[in-house]
This record gives sequence, structure tokens and C-alpha cells, in this order.
Amino acid sequence: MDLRERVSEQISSVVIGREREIKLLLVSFLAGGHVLLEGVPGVSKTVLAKSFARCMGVDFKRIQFTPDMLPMDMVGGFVFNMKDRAFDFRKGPVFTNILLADEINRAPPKVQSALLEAMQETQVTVEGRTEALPRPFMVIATQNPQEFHGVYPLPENQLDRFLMRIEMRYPDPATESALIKRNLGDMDTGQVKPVVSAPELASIIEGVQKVKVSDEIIGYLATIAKESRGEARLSLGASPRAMVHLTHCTRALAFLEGRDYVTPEDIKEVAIEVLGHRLKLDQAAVLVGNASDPEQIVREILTRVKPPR
Amino acid sequence: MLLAVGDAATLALAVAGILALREVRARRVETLAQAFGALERSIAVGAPWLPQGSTWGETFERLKGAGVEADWSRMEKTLEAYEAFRFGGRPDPVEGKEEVAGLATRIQRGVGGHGPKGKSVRTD
Repeated sequence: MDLRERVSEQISSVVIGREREIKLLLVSFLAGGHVLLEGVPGVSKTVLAKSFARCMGVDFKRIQFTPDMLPMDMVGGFVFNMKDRAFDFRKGPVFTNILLADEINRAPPKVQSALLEAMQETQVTVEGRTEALPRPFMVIATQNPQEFHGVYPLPENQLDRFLMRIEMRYPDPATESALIKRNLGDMDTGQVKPVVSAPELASIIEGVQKVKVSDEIIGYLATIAKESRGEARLSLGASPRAMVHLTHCTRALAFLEGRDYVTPEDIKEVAIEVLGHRLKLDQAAVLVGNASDPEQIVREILTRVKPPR
Repeated sequence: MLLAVGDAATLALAVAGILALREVRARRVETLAQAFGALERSIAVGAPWLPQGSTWGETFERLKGAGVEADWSRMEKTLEAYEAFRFGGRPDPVEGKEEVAGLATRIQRGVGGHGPKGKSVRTD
């Protein structure tokens, strides 16, 4: 059984009908990126994130973001040690392998910004002291849709740090029935077992980094980026970072599919989740009704840009 | 009257000859890459309704949906081998080239079925 099947099997014992989300989480983890899980309350965002972390057998911590939170609640800070009469650095919950940032958009911007350095550089700096974070390091942030009360929308630069935004919709009726039946008994993420050892994980990550991306594929990615930047309905197209992230994702996906090379199909498979949240609609286009969904624009770009064949 | 029938027969023979020659040419490919090249050209003629941004996998799915006959499971394996060559740097395979060339010929001639949104596929 390959890694994807093992992860899927374990998580399915507590979360039903989320195969695609599980696959995307795994792709992001292997690609070394962070994920934003978005959905209304009660669609298993937190359970999915917790189960995934358990499956990977790495250290896991959770922070519940609240409006009164301070950056030091997350990164840690200096505490006076009476015994040594000196300030010691006490590490915050960000020092972990998988950090679940629950309801990230309930925290004020300064706390969200404190995550930026950790996410981008895998390190934190407190009062001039820089501490490296353990590797692998992944942030799985959950957020409610922005129309909800008491939320601070993530700024564009913060959104761009997330490799993927995975939208979690309501389950279909059949899945919902299965889910209700399952919840009649005990449902505990504690029953999810790790499915990969640390050496195996290191070897898999090394394998992902060896997946070949041909010049034709790189050219295809560059054309997609150019199209998004020239799109009249967008005021902000795909950033170079977005395209690098997309490339990393396609390598991880190809590896999970048992290939050592990326195909155009790989790009199409994850482009919506990787690019959608980074694009900004042009307000004039929105006002006249020409644009309402950046993901739809990504789909249209993928339909018109000819892939290498 | 006889002259007209004779002319029509000659014309039909000539058309059949041209089609047969095209088929022979399409089938006479030495590598899989050449066969896919022929398929690319034939799609532009026989299935112009296919979106420009389609990958080979999507193209196969749409052709299958449009009722084009082929051994699709074999075609998928052939596509895997072709993509390993195209994007993975493997040697250009030869296996499966006849099927791909044959598909190219059938598409070029026009195929039955319907494209997306009710667009008819050209039929002879």
C-alpha cells in the first residue's frame, strides 16, 4: 500500500468523504508548504487537520486563535529565570512540525503577521534572537468564510504564503448519512495511527525533490502566470512565488502517482487550489458583473492555454 | 447517363484512393512521438471543438465521450509511455504507435458523436 492509501485509510476512520482534501494535504506536506482550510463551522476542518498530523507521525501542536491573542502566545518569549537571574527563551507552540492554526482569521493582524516569518523562513525572531523551527514545518490554518462576524481578513501577502487554499464544502447527502451514523458512536482522532516513520518520510521528501520538471512544463507554467497577469478581470495575477509553489506541488503529486516527472495533468490537478486564493478580482469588473470568482478565472485560463503535448 | 455514372465512379475511386493514401501515410509512423504528432494534426481537422487547453488525457476522455472507437485502456497505457518520453526523458517508444496513428486517421476522416454543448462532430 502506498503512502497516499495508508494516509487515506487512517483518516477515513474519523473523517468521511474527504479523499481529495486528504490528497491535497499530503501533496502540500511533501511539497514543504502550508495550507489554508476554509469552510463554514462544522465541516471537519479541525478533525481533518488533527488526524493528518497524527498520521504523519510528527510533532503536532494546536493554537486556537482569538481576538485578544498576542504574538508571544504563538512564538514564545523571554521569561526571567529567578535561579540564574537571567532571561531564558521559552519556546511557543510554533516550535513543532505541524501547527494547527485554528480560526486564523479571528486573530488580529499583528498575530497573523508573526506567522509570516515562521511560514516563509522556518524561523522566528524574538527581541533580536533568531530560532530555527524544526523540519518539516507545516502550518495548517483553518478559517471561516470572510462574511462571518469577528474576523480579520488575511492580507494578500499572508495569503501568498499559503501553498494551497482548500475549500471544504458541505458533504453530499450519502456522505452526510454515513457521517451521522459514524458519530452515533465514539469518534476520536486518537484512534488514527502514524503510517510513516521518520526515515521513510525523509526518503519520500528526498524522492519528491528529484522529480523532473521539463523545460516544456516550465514554459507552460510561465504562460499560465503571464495569462493571469494580463487578465483584465484581475487586479493581481499569480506571483512568481505562486508559480514556484505550483511547481513544488506538481512534483509531490507526480511522486504520489508513482512518476519521476511532471505532466501537464499534474498542473491542472492542483492549479485551482494553489492559485485561486492569491488572485485579486478587479473591483470594476466585479461591479459590472464580469467577475465574481477568481477560481473560475483560473479554470478559464487553463482551458485556453495550450499545454505541451 | 453512362458517362455521368462513369465520372461519379472515377471520382469515388479517386476520393477513396486519397483517403487510403492518407491512412497509409498516417500509419507509416516510426515512433510514438510521430504518431502523436499525426494525432495532433488530425484533431485540428476532425475535432476542432476540443478546447485548446486540453491535455492528452482530457482529449482522450472527450473523444471517448464523443463515441470515437478505440481500445482506450491500451491508449492510456500508450499515453503513459509517451509522456514518460516527452516529460521524463525516456527513449521514444515504438509500442502503440499503430493504434495512435489509426486513431489519428479515424479522427481526420470525421467521427460520430457530439462534442461539448451539443456541437456536432464532423461526420462523413
